[in-house]
Amino acid sequence: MEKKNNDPVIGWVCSYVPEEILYAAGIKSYRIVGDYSSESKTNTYIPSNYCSFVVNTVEAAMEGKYKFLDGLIMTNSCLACELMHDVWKREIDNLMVYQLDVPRINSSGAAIYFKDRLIKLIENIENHFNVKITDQSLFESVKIHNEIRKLLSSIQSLRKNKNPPLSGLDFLNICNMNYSMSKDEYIKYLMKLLKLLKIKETKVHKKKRIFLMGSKIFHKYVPEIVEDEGGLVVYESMCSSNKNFDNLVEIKDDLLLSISERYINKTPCSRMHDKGDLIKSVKKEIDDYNIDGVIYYSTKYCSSNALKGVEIKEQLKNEEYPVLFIEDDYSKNSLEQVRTRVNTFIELL
Amino acid sequence: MKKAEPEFQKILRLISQFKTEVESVHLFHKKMYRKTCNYVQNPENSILTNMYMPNEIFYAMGLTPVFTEYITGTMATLKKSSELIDISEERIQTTGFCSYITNIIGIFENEHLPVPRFLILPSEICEDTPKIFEYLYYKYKKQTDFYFIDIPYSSDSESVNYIASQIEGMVEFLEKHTGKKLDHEKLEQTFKLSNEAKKTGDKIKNIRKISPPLISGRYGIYMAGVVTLFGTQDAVEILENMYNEMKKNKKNNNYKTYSNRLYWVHLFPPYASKLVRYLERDLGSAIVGEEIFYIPKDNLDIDSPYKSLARKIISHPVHGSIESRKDHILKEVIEHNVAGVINFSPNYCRVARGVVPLLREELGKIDIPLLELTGDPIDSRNYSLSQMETRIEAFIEVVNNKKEL
Repeated sequence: MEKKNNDPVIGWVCSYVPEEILYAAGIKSYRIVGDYSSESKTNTYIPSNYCSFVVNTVEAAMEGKYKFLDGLIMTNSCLACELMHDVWKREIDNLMVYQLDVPRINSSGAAIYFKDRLIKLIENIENHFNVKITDQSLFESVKIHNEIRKLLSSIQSLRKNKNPPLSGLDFLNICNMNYSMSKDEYIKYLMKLLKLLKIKETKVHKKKRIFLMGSKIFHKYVPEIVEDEGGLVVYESMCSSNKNFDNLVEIKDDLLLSISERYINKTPCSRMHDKGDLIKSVKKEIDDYNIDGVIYYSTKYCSSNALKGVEIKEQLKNEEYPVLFIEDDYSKNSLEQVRTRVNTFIELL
Repeated sequence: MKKAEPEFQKILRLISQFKTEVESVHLFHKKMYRKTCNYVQNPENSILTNMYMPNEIFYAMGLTPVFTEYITGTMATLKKSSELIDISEERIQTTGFCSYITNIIGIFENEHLPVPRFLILPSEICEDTPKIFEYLYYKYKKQTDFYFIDIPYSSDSESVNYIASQIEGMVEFLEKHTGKKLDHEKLEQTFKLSNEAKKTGDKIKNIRKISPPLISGRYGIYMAGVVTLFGTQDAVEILENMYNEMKKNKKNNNYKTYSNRLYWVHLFPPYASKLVRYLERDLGSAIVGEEIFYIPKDNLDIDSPYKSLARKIISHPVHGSIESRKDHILKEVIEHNVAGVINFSPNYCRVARGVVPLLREELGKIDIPLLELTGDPIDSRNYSLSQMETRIEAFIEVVNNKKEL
């Protein structure tokens, strides 16, 4: 990414970081997604049993791939992310590295606590970058981000069609553009795209409709394999896609509390405490999108995703929904193994 | 007809009958056995939790908490974990998770313990435990209820208030489900007992810092679980017994002389007691301090009970950043005046392994060597005593060489 006019850019990793606040401060936001490479120079700082996404991302940072960043907002998403925060703070110079505390429960108390954390984040950004976030700029920012969420949801809904006008890979690319493009340009792009997709002539296909869930996927490889092997990804429950746009910030007097509530109430990441709500929403999505099979994807050593996957898989199997659990190390090394398993799964559907 | 004794209770009974050279450790096992009997007889009054949960409220309400790490660790002590490992491997089908936690699945599937009425868990210390508890809740939700306490990363007053309000919610939850009210006087009594235990615990920690090794280090590691009894007379009794034993040993010069003082970081594989014996008897090096034998930092305050318990959780050294945990270990290492540090990292434990690179770097600056041992903390099938002995022997050579320099 190239910087324009020396305007500050802040990187973020987790979908619980409210981009609204950065936009309101006039700061460009950039989502850090790693580069899916397989080398590792990070062994000095990150033990081998840590999430491969984190290892990969720190690796990319150490190679200087994020030199354009002026700041980084991390969350206490998991132990690996906490370590990533510590390593980044120690090893990467001239960068504001901020740890945002995100609750793991959905309650009014958690929303109030998260609002308090957001106030502290705002203070930090204002002091560090000498900017001011006003009520008006926050209001404008919320409107813009809500607009993006609405547009993405509308495009997402088109995938319910028997013959969707776009593939899973197309949708992944659309979502990924959000992480580096200017928000105003992105809105224009989405509006134009939605219009085109609505009138697009679709071809009848015989592909199996696949629901992809689990960790984050920013790279093309897994959806590409699924679609090469006779599947069509029509829904993803991941923080790289729908969990990033699935509900709106309600416009209320206490806008910061509304922002907090939006993030606390969104479809939960697997690190959030769950007493059975996740499986209910999964079943609803399976029905809404007429799903043939579920692929649960987890990155190696991601405890929250993998262990939640055990429960989800068992519950889906008990109700005779076809489900495949796959795990990879966020590199290209295991792709052919993934292909073999996906191929067999789709053949059996 | 009398019900058969569950396997876990049976194993604990055997352990509690075994007389150890340190009397207070024997006393600890006996108390834990009695607690387990209460659990087995009244699962409707029992709670499964982890070792970071303050239990004072449970004791004040007449409930029996048992912690996961103790159950699976005890099974491993007598090498009775292979069936449990098979079950967790069958369920999870992927590697990478702590067997201290995952093996609890097999404990309930094999009916080694009855399912407790409550699952109550703080989000500390790792992310594996909450997900395994969610799995247990999904499997046994007809028999159990689940209350989860979210512990934030920060330690400021808002974070304390946030935790305190959840603890208050937990009391309401327990009152609703048990039909019992939390009695303030009983809570005051448990707080007093907890503070009393802390006072003696501090004395034990302090005497160990400045004295020759008055008890074997492996007993310090085994005694880490005593903190889960804080709030009961049992904890006071065990710790006073230990302190008196140490004082008596010191007075009567009843202790061995060792060439090296060592500090132990994180857990210890419960099946590997011969390893410490080798370290102490053959290599003349004693463990004088352990990270997990932790005594809470502050006294509990009955005028502000929930905030006080929140502070107890948040002041634990594993809370917050890895940097702050490393700083705590460094402080302990210096205070205990040790010549070397051994860290046992369970294969897939991110808590244990995360601190090692930073700790190694900082210890290097003060010329204290660190040995990282890795292995499965529960599964002894791949454990080789001689390999471990070789590594420890080489490490002690390094420690000795540094002393000569």
